[in-house]
Amino acid sequence: MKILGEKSLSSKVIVGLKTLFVAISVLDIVVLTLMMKTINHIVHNESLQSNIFDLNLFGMLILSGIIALLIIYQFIKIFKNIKNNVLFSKDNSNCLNIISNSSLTISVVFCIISILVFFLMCKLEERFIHFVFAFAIILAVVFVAFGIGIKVLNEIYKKAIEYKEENDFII
Amino acid sequence: MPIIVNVDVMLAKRKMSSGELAEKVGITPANLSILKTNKAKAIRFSTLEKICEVLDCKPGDILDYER
Repeated sequence: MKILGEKSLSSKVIVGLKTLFVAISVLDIVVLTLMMKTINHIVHNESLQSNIFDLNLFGMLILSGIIALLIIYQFIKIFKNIKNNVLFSKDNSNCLNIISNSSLTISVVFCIISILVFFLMCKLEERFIHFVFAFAIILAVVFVAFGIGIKVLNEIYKKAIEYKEENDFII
Repeated sequence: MPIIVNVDVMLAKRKMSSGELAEKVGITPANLSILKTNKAKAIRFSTLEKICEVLDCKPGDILDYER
């Protein structure tokens, strides 16, 4: 299977990533609408205490959604470079750096969500809350691992760029 | 880098153009320019051999060392 160039796997991946980008954008807008409704509810009923958790959760989800969009955008940039046969460029390395930092930020967001859910678990005895807690913890761990993995990969990539540049100057 | 490439001097002595040398050696003019401007990190023995052969000189005539 062709990986580099036109009509290759990378060009198909770009289409998939763009679809994912749109899907997450729509999801973010939906969460934003729900958040607005909650704010409206708070303003009209003045029941801030009962809705503060929802508001925090929506805020965190929107934040992580925006960061996820940034990650996908960086992946699109990398795959476009791969499609154009630009493999060892500093631009790709910068993209990987942004992806790893964004992943670590998302993991922090999910850690905060899990802490919020944990406090709610102490108050409520609903079963789904436990699932939300487990889900947030798993996502936090996954994004930490992903962020660290990409960071290590970026260092290897930087070395490869260095070697490539050196090789380019061997006549 | 204290290693100086004196291809320019040899080219002037042999009254040869850079393009001609690049063509005869089999390297691109861009790579010859890298060599002439001392930007090169290393030079392959095969390239050095070809340059010496074309310019009819020794490696010492092309490469110099300055502290």
